Order: sequence, then structure tokens, then C-alpha cells
Amino acid sequence: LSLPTITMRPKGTLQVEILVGQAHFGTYDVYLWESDGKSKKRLGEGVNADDIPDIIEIPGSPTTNEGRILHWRIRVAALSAGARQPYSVTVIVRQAGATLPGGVFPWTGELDNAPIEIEAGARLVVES
Amino acid sequence: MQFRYRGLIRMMFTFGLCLGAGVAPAPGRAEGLTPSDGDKVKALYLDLSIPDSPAFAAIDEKPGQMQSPGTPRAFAVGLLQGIGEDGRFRQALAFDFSPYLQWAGNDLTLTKYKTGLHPVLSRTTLSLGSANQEGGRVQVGLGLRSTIIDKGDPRLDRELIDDFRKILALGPEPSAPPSGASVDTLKDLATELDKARARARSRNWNRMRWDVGAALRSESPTGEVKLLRGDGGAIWSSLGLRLRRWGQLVLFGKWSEVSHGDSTGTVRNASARLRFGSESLAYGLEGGVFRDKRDGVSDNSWSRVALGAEFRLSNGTWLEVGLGSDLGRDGQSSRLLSLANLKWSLGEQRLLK
Repeated sequence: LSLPTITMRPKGTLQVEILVGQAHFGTYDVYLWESDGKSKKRLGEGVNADDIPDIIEIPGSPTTNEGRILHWRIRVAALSAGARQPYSVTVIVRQAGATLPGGVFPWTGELDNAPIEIEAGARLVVES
Repeated sequence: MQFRYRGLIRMMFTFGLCLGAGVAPAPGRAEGLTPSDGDKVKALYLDLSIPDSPAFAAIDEKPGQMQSPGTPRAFAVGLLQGIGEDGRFRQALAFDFSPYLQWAGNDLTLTKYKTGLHPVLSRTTLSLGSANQEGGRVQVGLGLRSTIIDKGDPRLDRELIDDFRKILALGPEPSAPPSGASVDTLKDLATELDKARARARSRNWNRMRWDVGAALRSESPTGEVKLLRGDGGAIWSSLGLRLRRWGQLVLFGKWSEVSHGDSTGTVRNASARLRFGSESLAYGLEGGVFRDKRDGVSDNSWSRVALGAEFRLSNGTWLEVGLGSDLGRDGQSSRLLSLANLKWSLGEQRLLK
């Protein structure tokens, strides 16, 4: 499978936001891999139940991040018991506050008493 | 498990005391217990809960396949499917959903949920149902249900959130970048989460909670939407107050307006229940007064007292015991009756809730 791409502008700080909706519990971590996929840097981790914004800054300039792979893992669970509870998870990549083309990754579905884990990623490219 | 057996013995002891106090079983009762006896126990207790879907309580119709539209457009489409181009109800409607969660829930994070009116809006559901009657008549019910206060809301339970944080901690760092997107259900963690939820229920079973509900019923004699006329309604309120760690006082009120042919009337009910025990074992003492007034037909008032106990044998299975009586009801003896039996039920349904 080929990874989707996120097109960056040449300038501006990148951020990734993890949004777990429907008031479910969510925990996540985010990595940035070199373009060859052989080494990585852990950018951050968090839970959506504290008062810390679920926004992680991606270090480096767009040109240095060219070709790198943004990688996230998110676990979601319903705090209340019950079947067929809708869930919604959205990963949003922004540059200087603006959502980037190809930078929105939504997932929706239904949860029961078991949690789910979403794992995905995208390759960063600078617009030509 | 030890606790459960001790609780079972305590409950049996309680029931034994009740029988030993000179309350004789009703003729033909308390022997040869069968699952159908559960209905008798159910009828004995007062129902102090608010219907999950008030619209269907208003029209006395059990919902079929319930729809939960995800967007305002989906709701409109569902509504139009039930109503034909000629303006007549074509098929039964059955909607029950939280408008706020359906339409704004994707942006509702747990942090946001803790602020302002988000909890109340999230716990507010709207129900809409219709039922085709004989002679082309159609009944339509519109209901609203909300939990204004819920001190035991699991989404606001810090201990539960801490438990989830530990159980759901992500594993070792990945060894390779993803080759695509995946969504996996982690079934092996479900048991641990269920245990955490059960602990939260034990902590919160008697926390303060206030539920309200309302329903309107209308009827169209020909099934045409434009001929819908108001035909009654109901209002419910149920307030649960915590009594330290061991008990709960539930205050319940219901008012409903009913019509039968040319006569209309109101039914009023005010009840209270003292419940004590724990989340899995409960004793209840309850009483309620009723007034059923039909214009030009009747005006009945009566009261009911009941004493009962219920014990959770396992998830979704309850052993229930009760005794009680209606006092002052037309055609009914005022002597104290007793009923004792086993009721096996599935799901989270219970009587002393």
C-alpha cells in the first residue's frame, strides 16, 4: 500500500492535531520517520482527557521534512458500556494554522466494549 | 465471588424475615417458580424510570427498527421516507437520537465535554415515532429526554479515566513506518475495560442524578399529516439523591393527559423509593400515590407500598424478590400481598433502578 501525501508550502511550522470526538477516551503517539523508513523520532504522545491541547509540533522546516513520513497510533474506547456507540477520530495536519491539502484523515464507525487502535501515516512533500 | 454469595445469603435472609413477619403468600404463589413469574414482580414495583424513548411511551407502541440519523439531512430524508407525496403517513417512523451528539459530536472531545452545557446537551435525546391504527388512523409521538444532572457520568469520572489511561497505554514503539491505514479492535483489552467500568458503576450507583422527559401525542383520523391534532402528552421527572455510601432516595413524578373517545383525563403519580445496598445488591422500600381522573367517567385515587430486594447473579441476570400492595384501589383488597419468585432477564434491565 502506498501512503497518502500531505503537500506542504515551502515555509511555515507544521502541526498535527489528534481529535477524538463523541467524548470518548483517546490516547495517542506520533512519530516522524526519515524518508527511507529506517529511523524515526518520537514527536509526542498524549491523552484527550487532560487540559493539554492534543496538538504536536513537527520540528524542522518543510524542506528538511521533504519525503519524511508522519506516523500516528491512536487508541479509542467508550467510557460507558454499550454496543454500537459511534466514534469519530480525525487527524489534522496544519501549516501556520491552515489545514494542508491532503492533511485531514477522518475515521468514523461504531464501538462496543472493546477499544480500537488506528494506525496510519502520510508522506510529507513540498509543493512544487 | 465470595462477596456475591454473602450478598445472596443476606438477601435470602431479608426475604425470610419478610415471610416470617406474618405475611402469607398469596394463594397459589411462591411455589413452582417459573420465569413468567417475573412479570408479577415487575408489576409490583413502581416504575420510577423515565422511558428511554418517550415518544413511544406516549403512543404505547414498541418501536421497530430505530433510526439514528447522523446529520440533519439524514433526518429529513428519513422523515420524508415515512411520509408520502400525498401528505399521508406511509410507514411507521421510529427515530431516537441525541441531536447534539449526532450533529456536533465529532468535534466533542472529552476535554470539551467537561465544560458548559456539553454534558446536558449530549445526554438529551429526541424521539419521534408513529403507529398506524385501525381505520386509517395514525398516532404520532414526539419525545424529549434529558439527564440534567449526573454526578456519576462515566465521562466525568477521574478514576475511570485514570484506569483507561493505564489499560490503554500504547505498546512499544513501532519498528517500521505504516504501509497503510489500519483500524483494529483490541478484544483482549475489553475485559479489563469492563472491570474498570464495573468499578465505576459501584462507585457511582447512588450519585445524584436528575432525569426529565416529556412527550406529546397527536393523532390524524385519516393518516394525513395536515389533520394531526394534539391528543395528550406526559411529563416525567426523576431525582436520585445520594444517602452517604449506602443508599439513595429517588423522587419521581409523572403527569399525563389521556383521551379516550370524547372523554379526556389526567393521570398523576408521585412516588418515592428508598434504596440501599450496593450496585449489585439492592433493597428497596417504596410508596406512591396515584390519581386517575377522567372527565365525566371516574376519579380514582390509590396508593401503593412495596418492599423488595434484587441481587445481580451475573451481568444481566437478576434475582428479584418483592412484596407489597395497592391500597384504596377500586375492586382490590387492601391486604398485604406477597409475591416471591425468580426472574431472569437479559441486558442491564433492573427494577430498583
